[in-house]
Amino acid sequence: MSVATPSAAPPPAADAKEGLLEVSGLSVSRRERRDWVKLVDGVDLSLGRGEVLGVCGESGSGKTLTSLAVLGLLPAALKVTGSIRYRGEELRGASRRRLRGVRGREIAVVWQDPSTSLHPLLNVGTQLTEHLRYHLGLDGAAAERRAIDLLASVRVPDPAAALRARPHEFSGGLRQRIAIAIALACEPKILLADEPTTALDVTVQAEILRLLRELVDERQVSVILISHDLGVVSSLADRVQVMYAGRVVESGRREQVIASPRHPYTRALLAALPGGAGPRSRIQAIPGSPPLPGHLPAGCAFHPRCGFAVASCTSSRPAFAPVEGGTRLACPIDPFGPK
Amino acid sequence: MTVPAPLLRLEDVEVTYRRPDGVAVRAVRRASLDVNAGEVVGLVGESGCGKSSLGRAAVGLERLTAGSVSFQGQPVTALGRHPRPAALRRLQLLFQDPYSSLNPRRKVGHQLADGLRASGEAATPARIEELLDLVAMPSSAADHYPHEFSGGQRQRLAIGRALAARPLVLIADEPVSALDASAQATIVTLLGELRDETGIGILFISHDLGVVRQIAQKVAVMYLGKIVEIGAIDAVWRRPCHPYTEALIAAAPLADGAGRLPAGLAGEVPDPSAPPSGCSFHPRCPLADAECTAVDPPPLRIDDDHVADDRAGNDRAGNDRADDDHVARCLFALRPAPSTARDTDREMSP
Repeated sequence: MSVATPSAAPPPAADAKEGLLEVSGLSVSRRERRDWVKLVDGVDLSLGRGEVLGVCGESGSGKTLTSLAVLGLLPAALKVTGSIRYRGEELRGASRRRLRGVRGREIAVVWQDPSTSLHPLLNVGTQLTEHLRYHLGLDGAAAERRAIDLLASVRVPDPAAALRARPHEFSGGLRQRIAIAIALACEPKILLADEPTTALDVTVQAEILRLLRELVDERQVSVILISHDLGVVSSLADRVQVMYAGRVVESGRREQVIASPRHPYTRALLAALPGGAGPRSRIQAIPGSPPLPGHLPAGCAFHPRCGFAVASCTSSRPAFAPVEGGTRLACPIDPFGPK
Repeated sequence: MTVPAPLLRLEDVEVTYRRPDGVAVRAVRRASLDVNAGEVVGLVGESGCGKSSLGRAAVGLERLTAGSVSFQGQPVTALGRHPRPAALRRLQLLFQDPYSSLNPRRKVGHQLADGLRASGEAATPARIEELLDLVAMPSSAADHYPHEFSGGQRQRLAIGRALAARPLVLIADEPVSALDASAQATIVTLLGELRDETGIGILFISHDLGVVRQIAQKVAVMYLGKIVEIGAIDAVWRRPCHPYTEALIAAAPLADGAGRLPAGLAGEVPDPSAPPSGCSFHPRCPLADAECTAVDPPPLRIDDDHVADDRAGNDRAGNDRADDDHVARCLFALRPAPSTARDTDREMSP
């Protein structure tokens, strides 16, 4: 990790493979009467240039809160602690003006549901050129030319006509392509994709995943891909981080975490997936439900649902410790580790 | 099967909508499908293929422009503003989104009681507890509001309410699409157990063939209003005979850690008010040739690699179709077994 002094113009050297984005010890808390209840607890995350980081977990595991915290989009009532460094610059506590300069320009977002993330009453051209005017200061004609190029680059047919259409005139897949074009408008370094294909058909999902791959390969965009579907993450991510109850429980290279998962929760998530083209294996639901924030079980938060839990799991909270192969694991039992 | 007629039979069903500009859109085109007791039939296809319209037609929520739907031998006709006749109460619909299908302002117990009263049964606490137990929820859930539960739990409660009518057939319209992977597994497992324990028949509508494979015995694949392939799930999965079915299988991402991108399917679902000539799938089909643009493919029966033209069987009056026939509407359905090998040329470097 390259540590530079925070400044308005980050040194270009901070753009190296390591540490385009370095998040450490990120916590998000909500006030509940006299206590602060942690919704996200000590999350570390690092993203290099041209890298895809997959973040997985059930609903409520803190995936989206983590990404909102990175963008400085959480309501003031939530307390954010820890450090969020973008190219060496601390973003936590940065001025609203600075954050507006980062959002959309440096770190852009693709939300889950393109039918709610796009404005239904404004035509596509207005929504696309808004970014170009605000961040890049382009005038009308230049912005429109660039908007047409952007729509063409995400393969929206007849881009010039699309500019004048409103979101409801497009299918879900095309709407998500338009949302991606808007996110790409200012050539951000990081694309934060929060369940970008969850609202889409499998065929359309495959096309969007292929498009994201192209963008990574051709433009060296880095992507944080948030998804509950380990299949989606497996097809795109270089590294994978699995979250449970606000904490990261396993992280490492894709081949490691998905092909030979170590944490019982990662195993359970995989067992809950219907297989793809391979032979049918019986899916297994994870017993019980994820705990609610403020009501976390003592010790390891997963222990009530874990088939491998022993007495110590119910009392001491597992450290998130490095194991072999660059993987980090929050399970001292490690039932799937090398014998 | 000892039951002579299937519980739910859809025959040559047509559903046509009229757009505000007066153009007729044929959402479902001559679709036939049976659901037997103790059987889960999957209905898959992309958004806009007509699968929800067919599901709604099956419970009498759509007016048919042609064809018929019968439940236990009784015709199911569009309800309009009329209350549901008693004979149809045991045909129930389960919706996609448990966030909107449950009333947020009423306690779960009251909503289950509604279901019981609507089906002419006394809403006793014991019966409510029994319903909650059927969907693996604690009896204390009755005193809570829907927002206090997760998406998967809410969908279980919605299933509980549908079960109040002791249905024989459940039409489940994308019951797991709004849920995350582990909640999906819970609901699929629950529906499978209900089928095994109560012998309920389920029409399971989904865009995800992988999920359908986990629960269904039979699958029908729809494209632009037509059932383009139907058969036993294992046969269809092993040897998809319609290129569209193949594309659906290949598009599901695999969680194997290999970093392979799923194969895409280029293009968009065509405008159903102006379907392409010949085979509706030809503009997106990798196999299509000139004949495909002219000829609407007849259903072809695939049978142990010996295939007979199904034109005779097409005459439903004869009613001779065997229940687990594998049938595909593609001129190339009889080509050598297509490979379901996934696209590997775009493998990522590790």
